[in-house]
Amino acid sequence: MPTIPIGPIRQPIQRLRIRRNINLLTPQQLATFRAAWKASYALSDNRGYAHFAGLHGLPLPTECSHNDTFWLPWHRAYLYFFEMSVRDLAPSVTLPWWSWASGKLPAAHTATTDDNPLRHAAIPANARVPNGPSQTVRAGPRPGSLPTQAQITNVLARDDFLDFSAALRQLHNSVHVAIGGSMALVANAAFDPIFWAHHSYVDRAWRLWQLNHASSGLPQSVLNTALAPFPMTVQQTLSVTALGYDYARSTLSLPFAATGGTS
Amino acid sequence: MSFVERWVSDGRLQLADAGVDQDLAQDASAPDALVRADLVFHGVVHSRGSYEGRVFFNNPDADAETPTDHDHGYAGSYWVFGHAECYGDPGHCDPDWGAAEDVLDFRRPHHMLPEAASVEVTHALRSIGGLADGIVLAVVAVRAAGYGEDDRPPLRFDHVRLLTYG
Repeated sequence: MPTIPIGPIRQPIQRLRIRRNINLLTPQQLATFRAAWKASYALSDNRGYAHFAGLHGLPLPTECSHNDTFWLPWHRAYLYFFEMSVRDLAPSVTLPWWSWASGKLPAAHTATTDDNPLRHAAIPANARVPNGPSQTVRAGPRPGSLPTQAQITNVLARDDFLDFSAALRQLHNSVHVAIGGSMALVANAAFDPIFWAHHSYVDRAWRLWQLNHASSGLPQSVLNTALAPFPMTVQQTLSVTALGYDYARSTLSLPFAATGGTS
Repeated sequence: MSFVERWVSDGRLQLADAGVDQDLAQDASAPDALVRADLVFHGVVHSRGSYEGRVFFNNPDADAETPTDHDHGYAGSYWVFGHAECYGDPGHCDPDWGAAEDVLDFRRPHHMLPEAASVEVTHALRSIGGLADGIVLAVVAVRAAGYGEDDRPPLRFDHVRLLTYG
């Protein structure tokens, strides 16, 4: 008889995609993730990495939203559509998150092997700033410059959505400043592969906040606002499970028979 | 990272400057009654380079090398994720472009509209004994190590407001 006090998990829950901690990926998961990233680099049309990275800043128009009301919904939609494009290339891949409280960039993104596609990415000519580099660069972070767990916990404890959103955006900004280089420039930030793990963590923080707050807290007046260029409204971003993914810390599935049931 | 510029308020930041009525001000001056205090920068320009704005209380000589601890008046920081330059034609990054109020204008707000940045200063305000003696406020902008051709000082905002609760 099983000793774990849980019931059988229904099939729809099993289909939720789980975004994982980048530092806890298995070697196989990391290899698949890197292979998917390379495949995305190789696509030069609107299915590929450069297209999605370019939506954030250059080439114009700059689509990203960074005001306190819209930045969380807009970036949730942004990651969703980019993740779907990567999953077209590798269906098992999700966008992993990187915890700022780890104090340093994840090894997956800093390994200096020649074939590590997460270390830097090409910046196409139409997205370069004057005298800017042709591939992404980083200047940091230096020790102690990333948000601490205490700061993150403080932000998560804020009950008002706009207060939470503004405080989280500040920590997010601090990471862009701390990493420097391409990440410190709105125009090029999304070309750096760490951008996506950084924003997956932002999105996870919003999800954790939502777990403790029954109301979205967003003004009713903005819920039907479209998040251009994505075919999605603010309302449609409010539930990650409705978008088919989640940030569960761990998952455990038991077949019905293993719980003592008979089919 | 390197020091770029410093902005120091003219004299002492008084409650009247913060737009708080006097009755509330009397209550908020008592540090023991303070539940929370936010320093909110309004009209923060983000069309220039990214930077950290380090806020110091009663240390008008603070600079980028000043330790970020309460002994040196450090109250907290805000961070601006900047655009650095305008990559469009003249007027592209001017938030006044097409800014006329029109209820039938369904376009998104201009991408360069100034924003607000908030720094929670509860502990810092308690550590200096509250607001009874006023505050000299210094903001030190420490620019991110980036690239591009923009060398304009990044620190620009419209006004700063201190909100106290308690």
